[in-house]
Amino acid sequence: MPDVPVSGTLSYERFRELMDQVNRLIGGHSAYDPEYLEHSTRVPQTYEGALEEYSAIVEKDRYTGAFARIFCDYMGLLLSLLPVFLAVARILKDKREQASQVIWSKRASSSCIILSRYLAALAMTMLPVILTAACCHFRCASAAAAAGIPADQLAFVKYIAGWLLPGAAFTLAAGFLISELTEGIWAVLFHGLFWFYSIFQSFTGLNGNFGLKFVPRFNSFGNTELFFSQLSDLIVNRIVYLALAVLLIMLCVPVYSWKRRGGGIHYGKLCKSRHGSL
Amino acid sequence: MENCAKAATVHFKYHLKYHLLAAVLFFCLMPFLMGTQYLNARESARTLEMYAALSGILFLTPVFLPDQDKNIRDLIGSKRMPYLVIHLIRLAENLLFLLVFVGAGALFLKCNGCEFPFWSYFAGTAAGALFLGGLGMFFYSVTDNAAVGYMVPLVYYMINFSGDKYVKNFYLFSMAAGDFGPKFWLAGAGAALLLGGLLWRRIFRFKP
Repeated sequence: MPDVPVSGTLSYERFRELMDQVNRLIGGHSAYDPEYLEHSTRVPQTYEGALEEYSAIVEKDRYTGAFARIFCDYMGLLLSLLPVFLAVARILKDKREQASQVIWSKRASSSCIILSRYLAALAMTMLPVILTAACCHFRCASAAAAAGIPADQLAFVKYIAGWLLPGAAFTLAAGFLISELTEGIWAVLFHGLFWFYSIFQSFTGLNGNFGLKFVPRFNSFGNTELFFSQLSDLIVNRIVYLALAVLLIMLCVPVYSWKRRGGGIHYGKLCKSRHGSL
Repeated sequence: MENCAKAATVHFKYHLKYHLLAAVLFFCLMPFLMGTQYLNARESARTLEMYAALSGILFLTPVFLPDQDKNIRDLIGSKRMPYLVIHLIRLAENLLFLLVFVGAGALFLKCNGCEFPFWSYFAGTAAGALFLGGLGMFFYSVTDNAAVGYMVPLVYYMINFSGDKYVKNFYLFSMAAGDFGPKFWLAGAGAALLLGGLLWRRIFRFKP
């Protein structure tokens, strides 16, 4: 590849403009995308830099924190999609067994039914994550102890609760709401497309740049200072998705109540009664 | 023959059209989610393998979806036409539309200035779609659970992001590296999974 020297008068902003032009010329989604360039640039590591990074892992992350981040990065990919299947499976099972009529006739309120099912599904979603994290933590803590590093015993707990739980909660809530409205598998399609978009959006910044991305990524072991400089963005991101999860599940309750009173979607139209139309 | 045509029409009218609608939406979103203009062979393969091949899940997994309703199941079971023939009709219809949509997706890329060998890439993408759809259909048949049927191929798709270390000859994204060998394995396995799903349903679910 020819070595093209860069003009000394070329500013970074002008460089970004030119790269954006090239990106648009070749149809977009290319490696010339300024955002992709910004987050894919690398500089060679020095000994001093590596030592600083090691010190940060030992003192700030206390070893287990760095592993917890990588764990959450990979688990986030799964937890942003798989819980929707729990929601869909529930609605299909109810439909097949024709259990709705029995459930609707009970005294339990719609909020009690929906929230108990939602919280049970969320608990069962997080249980294997917690068990896997416990295995990881045990190995990390043993390695840290062998190296004489006082590990953070709550690292995995903090990262799972703050990073993974809001994503799983949002996915499940979206699945519950769409499944309740459509009484079918449409939640898999809609949330699947949203997940696909989020995954490919996350490729533009695999080390932070959280913004309002549904799947926040931080795919490197260490890089502690970079992570902590963006921690506030991650916290805001997760709070937004947790709030959206609460909103969606709260919306699911009146939808369920409306169906209990005879409403439904019949051949694409909102119906007041299951056997008629508005 | 007339009954087969009627069965195909009914399946299209009451079930397949929703999946066709989903597929149209899916492919309409392709230009917004993936690059589709002026791609070279490697990037075209990436778009087709990572996106278009997912349409296999949309078309092939729901072959047994109408049977969820026990009333429909019992009604069809009471007819002279064997259940296996009904399933084969649905599968053939879904396969036909799958190939049409995958072809349309590849043609769309070609018409947008992408440079790649059309028929090889179409066949490779169809093989990946067949495998993913076959996985979905097989596990739906075995578990009798549509959610599991959709989940298994998507989990397999996610596993392939980490490379071909674990999946070896069944790697979904080999075309981007110029390797068509795994595509034959995927096509063969996909056909076997489809057949297995049909036979499992016939032997274990619908005993006369």
